[in-house]
Amino acid sequence: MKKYLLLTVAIVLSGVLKAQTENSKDNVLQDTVKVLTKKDKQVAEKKYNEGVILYQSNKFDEAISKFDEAITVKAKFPEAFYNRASAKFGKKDYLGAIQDFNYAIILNPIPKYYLSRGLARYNYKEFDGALSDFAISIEKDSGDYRTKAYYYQGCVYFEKESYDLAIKSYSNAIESDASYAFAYHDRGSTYRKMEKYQLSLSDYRKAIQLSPKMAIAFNNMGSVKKLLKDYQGAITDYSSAINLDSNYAVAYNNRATVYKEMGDFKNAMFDFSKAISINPSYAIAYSNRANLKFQKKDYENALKDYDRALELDPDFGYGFLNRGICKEMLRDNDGACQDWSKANSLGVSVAGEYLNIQCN
Amino acid sequence: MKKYTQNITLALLLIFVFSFESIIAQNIDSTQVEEVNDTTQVVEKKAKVKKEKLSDTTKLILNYIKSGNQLFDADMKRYDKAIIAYQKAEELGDSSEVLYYRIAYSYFQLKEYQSSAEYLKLVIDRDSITEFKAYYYLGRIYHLNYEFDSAITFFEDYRKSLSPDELNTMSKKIKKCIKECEIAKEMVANPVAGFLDILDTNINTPYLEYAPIVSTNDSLLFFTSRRPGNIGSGRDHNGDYFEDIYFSVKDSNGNWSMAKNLGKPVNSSAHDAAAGLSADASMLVVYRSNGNGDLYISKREGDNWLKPKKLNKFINTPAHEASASFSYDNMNLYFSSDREGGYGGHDIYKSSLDEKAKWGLPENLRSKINSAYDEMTFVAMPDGKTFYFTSNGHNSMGGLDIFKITYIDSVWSDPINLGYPINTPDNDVLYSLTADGARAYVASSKTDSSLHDIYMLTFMGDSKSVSDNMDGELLAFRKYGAALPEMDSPVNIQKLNLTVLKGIISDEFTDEPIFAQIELTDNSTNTVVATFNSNEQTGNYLVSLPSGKDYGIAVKAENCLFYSDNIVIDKTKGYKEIVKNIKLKRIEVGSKVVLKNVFFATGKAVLTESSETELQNLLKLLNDIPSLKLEISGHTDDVGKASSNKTLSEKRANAVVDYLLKNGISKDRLVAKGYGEEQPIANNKTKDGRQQNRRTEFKVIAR
Repeated sequence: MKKYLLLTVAIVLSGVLKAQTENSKDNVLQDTVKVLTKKDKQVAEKKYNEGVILYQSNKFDEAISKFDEAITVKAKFPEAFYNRASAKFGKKDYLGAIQDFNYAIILNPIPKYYLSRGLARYNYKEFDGALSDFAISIEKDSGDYRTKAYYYQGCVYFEKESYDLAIKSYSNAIESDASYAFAYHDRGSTYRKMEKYQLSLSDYRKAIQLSPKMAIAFNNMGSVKKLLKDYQGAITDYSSAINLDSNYAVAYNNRATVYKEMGDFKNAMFDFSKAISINPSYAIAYSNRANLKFQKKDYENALKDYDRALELDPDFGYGFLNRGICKEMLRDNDGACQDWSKANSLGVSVAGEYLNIQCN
Repeated sequence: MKKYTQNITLALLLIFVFSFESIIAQNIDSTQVEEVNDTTQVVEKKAKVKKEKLSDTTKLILNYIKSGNQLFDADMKRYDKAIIAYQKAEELGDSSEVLYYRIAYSYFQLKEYQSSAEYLKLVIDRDSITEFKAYYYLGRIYHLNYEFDSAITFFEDYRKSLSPDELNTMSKKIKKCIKECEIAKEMVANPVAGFLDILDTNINTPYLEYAPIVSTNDSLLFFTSRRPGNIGSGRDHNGDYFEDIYFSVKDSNGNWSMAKNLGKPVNSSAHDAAAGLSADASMLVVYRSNGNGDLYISKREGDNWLKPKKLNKFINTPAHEASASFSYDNMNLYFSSDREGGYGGHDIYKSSLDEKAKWGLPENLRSKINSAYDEMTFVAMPDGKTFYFTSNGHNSMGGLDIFKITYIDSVWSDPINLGYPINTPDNDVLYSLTADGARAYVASSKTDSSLHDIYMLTFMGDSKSVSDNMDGELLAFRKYGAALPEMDSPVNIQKLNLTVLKGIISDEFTDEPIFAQIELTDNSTNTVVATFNSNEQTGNYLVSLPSGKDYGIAVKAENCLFYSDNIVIDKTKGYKEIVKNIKLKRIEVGSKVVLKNVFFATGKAVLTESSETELQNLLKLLNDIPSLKLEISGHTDDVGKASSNKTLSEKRANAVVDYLLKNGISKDRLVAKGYGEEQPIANNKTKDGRQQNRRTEFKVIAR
């Protein structure tokens, strides 16, 4: 890449030299053009703008090389560092993104840059660093970046399972922007984790009211209703989510679990299979469909689905637990014990109990 | 979390009510309604009345009925043969209610429930019915066939058919039947987890095998079978072989060896059944049918089992003793007896060895275990606290069920029904467990037509359930991808939409290149945007101009009249070149220059602001060359009246002169002339021509 850049620079320079010799008699030309178009000063900007267009079409690699070029030409170009960081972020290269955000912030310490670096740190699971960046954004800004920083602060606290703090942050975000559907939604999810199901439902409803096409809010509202054993309500919500997003595999999966709970195996089977057809690498849907086959005593075919689920997700603890139970029914005690052992090592404690009792 | 169902076959349907000679042979089917003698009388009475007028067919029918009745009512019941006789009567045209009922009853006794139900329905479908017990037996059959709701309906129908007197005696029994159906429904819906595997042909044959008793270490199995090769080769009136005890040992691979008849002296020519085994497998309790059913103990000496000794009078009485088992330390004997003084039916008693090593006075195990119905077997587990027993009381789901009970700190727990499918609506008896409680042996029948076989039940421990996973992002931005940083926007770059204006500046007459100063004015702002020179040697000039503007260009050179022009550059995209070669006029008398950047308001003689630069150039020319005298002239096109045009042109020329005068030029250097349309420089017939003709000019009149 660097070689290429040098070459480009060389060509440009030789072109200029050639032009100068040709027009040596004609100094007027050079002066005139310089005054009116500022042509030479904008190479970095042009590369930068090309990078922006590529970034907008999610062509992160190509965008990064344009920003590279821009930065080579013009080192004090915070926007280029910032956008290169964003493109690295898009590639999930969070560490690279953090480094570029650092440069951007040195050149231009604005709330937006802190917010973005906070996001990169959040995704890099550097939660404390993220929280500190969000705090700076909140302090420095009074508008949108402050609101967003509150929101992501809530998300970090949610991930850290500090649910009380998450509720505070989301509430602050909502106070800054009463129409912030995501903040309502995520506060609803936090209440759900706290088993405050009615508050959770109320926030999900508010999110939907603000953003009526928010399929995820319908899906999560359905899941809370399932926890409350309001199966009919759950079916309605999952169906709404599916109506909004016909490729919403998760909502199909979840609706199927409710159908199963209601004893409607036919619809449950249809929905699990639909979820799998939308997303053929959906391990959870395979495992759930296997559970349904298990319940119908179709152990052989259940085993095939469990196998597929675990092939797709080798760290799926509950998948191993379930497959072990299925193997037990198929009288494969050794296989069952191996699976429970794996499930236990993946943190599914009930598998450990089975191991102790039945696997010597 | 729902219990998951086990692999145990559901085909335990319609297990025979045991026709086992031992254990439950003695009228323990408490649910049976024994009342058929009445019908015999009815049939025969009916025959007597009409004797004189009988046809041959009727006589034949009566004969068949009579012989059927003899078989039906005999001490040694032969229901199978009775059915043949009755059905001949049916074929000859007898369709009486009594006949159908007797056939149904016989089938019921033979456990052929489907046939029984067909005849029972013929009874209850009649317009008038007297054999109301048909409802009861239909209830029993549906109960055994797991159709509990229908069974309950039939039991209710039976209750409705009874007179108040009958109800007094029967209502308790009917109530229990209904309760059993309700319990059965619940238990079938919540089955116990385990695997039921039939033992292989080393143990099971097409004949009856039942009463499995396994040693606590699961290595020795006793069971009772009614198969050919029994000691004494005895058979009962139905042709079934007498019971004998068989045994099998487990080999090193965990397989049961080919079962062998335990032989004499344990087995006799009578019924001999295994009824209990001590924990150390040193003593076997044997049931023998002589008398009213008594219990014996055979002791093991090496590989031989010694002649069974009858238990003492505390244990064996004129009543029926069905089974016995030892406590783990062999100090207590638990046995079942229907002797008087109990709680009803068979009860479980406990007898302990006294100091003389004799079984002492037994005590009734009381109401936690013994009910008003039958308790038939009792098994003590090695822990000394856990016991299993069979009963058709308590919360049985039908017939005898197996219950678990514990005795801890001198307190008996409530009995727990082991549940379906260990228990069924029919009789489930003699349950034998291995010491670790992991396996049990039971006798079961897979279908209603096959005879009992021995099964091994493997418990699966606590019930397990596979768990579904709900799914979905809980954080909205993760689903909608809003977490990408908000990008910085593009920066402004001057557009490359430029127009290049180039050309050569030369002398009008000699064509020699002129070194001239070029001044570019943005007419919209009236500001000079660039000043540059043409090349001295070539007269070349080149300027790039942003598009979309109206420019004034003024070219001045020494000894030349200045040149001005107006250039409008469209907002065209991309690169555009305009070539404009400019001829400059030397300052000589008679030279004329059009002032192209002098503008007036339409139809008026008022100078617009955009004329300022051009007028300043003209002013500069006059100041630079003080001897210079000019005629300023106005010209129009030929549109409109010539006189008006002339007036307008004159006024416009004066406006320019006035500007110059105001700026300090003396009056004698300037002449204003209005020529109107008189001196066109282009064709007035074109728009462009007319445009050129509308002009302000100056002419050098002196220098």
